[in-house]
Amino acid sequence: MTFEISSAARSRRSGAIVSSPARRWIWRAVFVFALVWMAAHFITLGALKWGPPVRHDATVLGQMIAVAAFPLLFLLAFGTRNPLRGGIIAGVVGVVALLAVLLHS
Amino acid sequence: MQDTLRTRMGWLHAWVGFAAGLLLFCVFASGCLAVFDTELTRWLQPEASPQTEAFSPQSLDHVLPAVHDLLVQGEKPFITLPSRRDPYLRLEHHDGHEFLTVPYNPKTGERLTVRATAGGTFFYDLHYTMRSGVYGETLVAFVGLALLLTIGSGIIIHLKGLVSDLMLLRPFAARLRAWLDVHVVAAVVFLPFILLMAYSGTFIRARTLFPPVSYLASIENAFRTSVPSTPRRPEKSAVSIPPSFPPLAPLVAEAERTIGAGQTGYILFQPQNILISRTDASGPLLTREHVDFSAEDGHVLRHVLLPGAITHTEQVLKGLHYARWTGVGMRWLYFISGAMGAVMFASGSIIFLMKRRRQSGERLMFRIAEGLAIGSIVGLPLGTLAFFWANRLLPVALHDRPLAEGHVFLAVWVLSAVSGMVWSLLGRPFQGWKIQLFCLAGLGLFLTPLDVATRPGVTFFHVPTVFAATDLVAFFLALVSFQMARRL
Amino acid sequence: MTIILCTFLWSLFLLLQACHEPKMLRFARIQKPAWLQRAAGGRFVLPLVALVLCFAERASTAIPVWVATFSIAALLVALGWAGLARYRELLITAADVRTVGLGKE
Repeated sequence: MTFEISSAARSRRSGAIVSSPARRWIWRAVFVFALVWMAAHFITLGALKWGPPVRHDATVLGQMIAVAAFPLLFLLAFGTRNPLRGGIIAGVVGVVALLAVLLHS
Repeated sequence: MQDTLRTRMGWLHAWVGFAAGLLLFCVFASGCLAVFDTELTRWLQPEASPQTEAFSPQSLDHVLPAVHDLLVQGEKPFITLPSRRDPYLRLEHHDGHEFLTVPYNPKTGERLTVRATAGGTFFYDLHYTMRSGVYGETLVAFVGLALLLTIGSGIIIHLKGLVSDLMLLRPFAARLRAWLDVHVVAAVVFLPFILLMAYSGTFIRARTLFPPVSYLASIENAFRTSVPSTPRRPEKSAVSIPPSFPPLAPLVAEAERTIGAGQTGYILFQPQNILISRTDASGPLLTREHVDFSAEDGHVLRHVLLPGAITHTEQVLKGLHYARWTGVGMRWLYFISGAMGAVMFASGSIIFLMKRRRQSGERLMFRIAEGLAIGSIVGLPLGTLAFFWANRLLPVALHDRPLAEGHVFLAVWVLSAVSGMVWSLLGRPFQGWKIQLFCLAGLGLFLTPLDVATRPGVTFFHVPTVFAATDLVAFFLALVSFQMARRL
Repeated sequence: MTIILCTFLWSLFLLLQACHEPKMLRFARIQKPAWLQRAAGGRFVLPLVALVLCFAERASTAIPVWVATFSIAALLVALGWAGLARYRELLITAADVRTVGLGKE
């Protein structure tokens, strides 16, 4: 919050027009969407590796987790005050899911 | 606007909710009709009287020649056995959109002369594909994800008043306040249902969004198949269909010994096999357990029941979503909950437009958005009622009648969307809302007289009351539309 | 039958719950009845009885029926409470008009 207040005050002092945060939120939402979508995709792919041995069950489990994780992760990443922190959370989950696809024997 | 969690979530809720909400309104409205698909099919085939004789398994053999014809045409026919929901024996097959159905007398196996119709499954297809095949399916699954996001953000926004405002409905307050209350009551009170439907529905169609193959591989495959590298192999030779099938009554009895007495629901025919499957009404676990018989001599081939905790979880989710296990009472609860889901989207879209009308009412994008809202919120019910009218008014001998009914539905929906858009672009959106709501009220109000006038052997007191229930729901919709048009 | 009974029990519970919500009481312009103070905790028995009824009928479908009847009951109470509030509002307005009229005389 301190960051927002100080930046708004700075813009007011300098006479610049304070832009609506909505424009920033659009880009943030797009960025978070891309990260979270990839994480959900890697979870589905990874389930075939670390999930149950039967392919059908593994696919179903992966999709169950992906569908549940997508909104939770999106809201978590979009909800953080600091956009970078949100991106890091979604990114880390995506990287872990990717590593599970690549490294699981 | 300050950058806080609540404002961020409010922004997400409003925009994602409006963008997906117009389609989700159609999904929920058609879904709550699809819950009564069998009953609606009975309304749409009024020649089959509400009550009929008791089922005799010997009648099944009279359906076999028609089954054979369908198999020769390359269809996958199946017989639905009589149940408490529907006393007729039905031969069905999927035409790419809906399950076309022909009723047979359950005692004699005699084919009933009824009109060809798309039937209640028209709304089932509309519900999950918007009649656009795999593209529609993907889109509906995608808006399902958007719904999950909207629900999550809505809960965060409304967390403080979640319990205290649970039943706070102020219809006589200021307009925006009243619509907000309608939205909150519809959403919060029916949250368990909406959440379950959103999750299970998205999961059921998840293969379109999250396929178990890498996107890169899919793209590579798409390019690879587009290049004609090798000459096409000749078509696989057609599987031979036996000239006659074994008697079905002993097969049903045998299947009941495995599945349980009175638990058989469908008989699916394949060129080499006959699958007798468990009825979906047996419980919330949609196992689709089946016993397979040889189509040549009727000996048992196998008993298929998928095991495992994950499969069972999947079956429970499907069972709860499809609601085929429910009795009449629970079916009505599903219907009302679905209708309230549709009310939630409609009220949400209206609030979105109301909040922005003063500031952006003159903008082109706003007018287009309002036109789309009219086309969705009033257009879909209009198209639905037009579908019912078409079913009764189109000539019975019309060629490709089920398709014609679908075309009437689509034409009225498109007309409603175009007219809504025109009124909105002309800067008179209220006129657009009003005219269409009055049209909706008229179509709903006169559906009962139409039903009485065009139903052969009409009787007012009979059980079950599929005709009376359909007419009453249309009448109720007419009253609500009339009241809304009057108050605009 | 179970559905009707459960809806009734839920409605009763939610009605009592509404009587405990200051916001709902203010909206309907009514005061909390004194006897409700003594039966404050007792209302929570009603949903449990409804749940037992659902399980007694069919265990595999008990939870969906229980939750669905809650939603219907809440809708019924919301509609009923809105009607009550409107009635009370009109009643009080009429009484005010009468008082003003008498005052003028």
